[in-house]
Amino acid sequence: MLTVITLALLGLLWGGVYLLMATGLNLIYGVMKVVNLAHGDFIVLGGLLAFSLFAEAGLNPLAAFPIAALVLFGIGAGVQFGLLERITAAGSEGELRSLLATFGLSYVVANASFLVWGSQFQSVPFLEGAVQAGPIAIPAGLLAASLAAFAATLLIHLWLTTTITGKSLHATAQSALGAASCGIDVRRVRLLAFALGSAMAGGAGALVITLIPFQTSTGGELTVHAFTLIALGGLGNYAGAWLAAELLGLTEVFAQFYLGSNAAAAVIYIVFIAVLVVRPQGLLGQAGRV
Amino acid sequence: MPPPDLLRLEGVSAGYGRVPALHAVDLALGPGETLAIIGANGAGKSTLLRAIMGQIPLLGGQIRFAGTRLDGRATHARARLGIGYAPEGRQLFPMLSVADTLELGAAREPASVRRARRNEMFVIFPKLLPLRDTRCGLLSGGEQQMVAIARALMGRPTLLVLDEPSTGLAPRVIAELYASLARLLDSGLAVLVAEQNARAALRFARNAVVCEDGHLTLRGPAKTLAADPRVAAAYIGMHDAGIWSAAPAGGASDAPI
Repeated sequence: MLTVITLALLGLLWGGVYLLMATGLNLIYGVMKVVNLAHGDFIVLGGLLAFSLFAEAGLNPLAAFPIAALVLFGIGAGVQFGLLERITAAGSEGELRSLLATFGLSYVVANASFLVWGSQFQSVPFLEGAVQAGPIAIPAGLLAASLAAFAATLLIHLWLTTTITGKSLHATAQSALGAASCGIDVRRVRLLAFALGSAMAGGAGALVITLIPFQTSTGGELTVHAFTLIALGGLGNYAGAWLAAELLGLTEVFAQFYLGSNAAAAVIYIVFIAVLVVRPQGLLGQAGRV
Repeated sequence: MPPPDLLRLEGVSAGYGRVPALHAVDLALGPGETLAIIGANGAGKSTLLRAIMGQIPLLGGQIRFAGTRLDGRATHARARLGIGYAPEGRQLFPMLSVADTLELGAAREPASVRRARRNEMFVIFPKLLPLRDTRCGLLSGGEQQMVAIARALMGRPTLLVLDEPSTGLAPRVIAELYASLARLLDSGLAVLVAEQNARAALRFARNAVVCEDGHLTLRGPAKTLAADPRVAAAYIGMHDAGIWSAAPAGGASDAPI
């Protein structure tokens, strides 16, 4: 029983980390209908930045978190302004173009990272002890990373739902023409959305690299993870993404403990496929929802 | 001296791709005036409004609003100049509440101003007050159209541009909607409305133009046009002016006749 409770706690904590990883992708998809295939590479880049900040300057990953987020904010803004905004087109034509562009971008980011950091796995040691709560022991690093991820996601969510700028992101997502009629500069909103989504990827990377080692080629896998989450939650649906992140965290932790890590990787996709078969719109998804 | 024009179109051609859907249109509207653009489905009414709002590029001619050339300005910049736009299909934010949607109409104003204007809208459209926390996607067609118009008014426009406001509404709701619009005119607001529903629009506006195949073929006081058999003829397959003029006065219908 104790094992089950511990595993459940671990799963829920991993859910928080997954949530931050996926929320940026969700935000970008929600506002722009762009699936950013470079999202995982942004996460890895954020993580490797945190690694360098730790290795060169001895910076704590929690201090590297905002720096990685800020750097990726700038990169995201540059990508949106210099690339995606210039290839926009209406409907499926636009979706295909942006998909191809971000697919190419993922290679550019991964290979640029390779030039800087090489191909070896890097990780950042962080709070290696355990937090003891009665008979239950939780790794302190996971607890801290998860709480930071939850806090960041919550802040972004509050900003999105309570401020007028946040609401203008929702408005643009739901009707770009309606937003423009309100005098909202939708190009600026898209720039902000992509930059913010990228910043969340960068921040997530700084936390995740303390939990699992990164290699410049880890990005693809992380993109699939993040995409699985938002597809599971219903694209563009925040509550759904949260539920999916917890579900994925729990599934992964339990599968790893009882079935081993190779089987765990498969189990996640089996759950994913099962949910899509039963609820193709995602756990809480509705068509057209943001 | 007549007052200077608020909106002026000179030789405006516009369309999708290189094929014009609008041919050399001249149009002028003074402050506080009301103008209805009527015509059959596909006659170019919406194209004309989209050209004014910068949703499609001009192929020729120019548009001025309050003396400023609109060429090259994005839709949001035109809205900021004082054009309130309620587009075809309403373009509301289905997942946002009525109150939030209204506030977004004045997104650049400080919170206190946004709230004050939002409350003014609840006075103009009292039906929206109990719905303030309801998501726009759950509203009826008439309520949605009220929100679309109220949202356009939130920016304190001097010109209101309405694209087919009566689409999908019951005759009683259309009458109610135009009654609310008529009350707004006291404030000196100019209104440009494109309508397939000619009867409702002609009763509301002081002047009207008829749009046919991308040309403005008739123009004049709305009362005169309402009795003009050529207006009925402008609608596809409608050459029987007798039905047009003999139509009952109460309530507009969705079909032109």
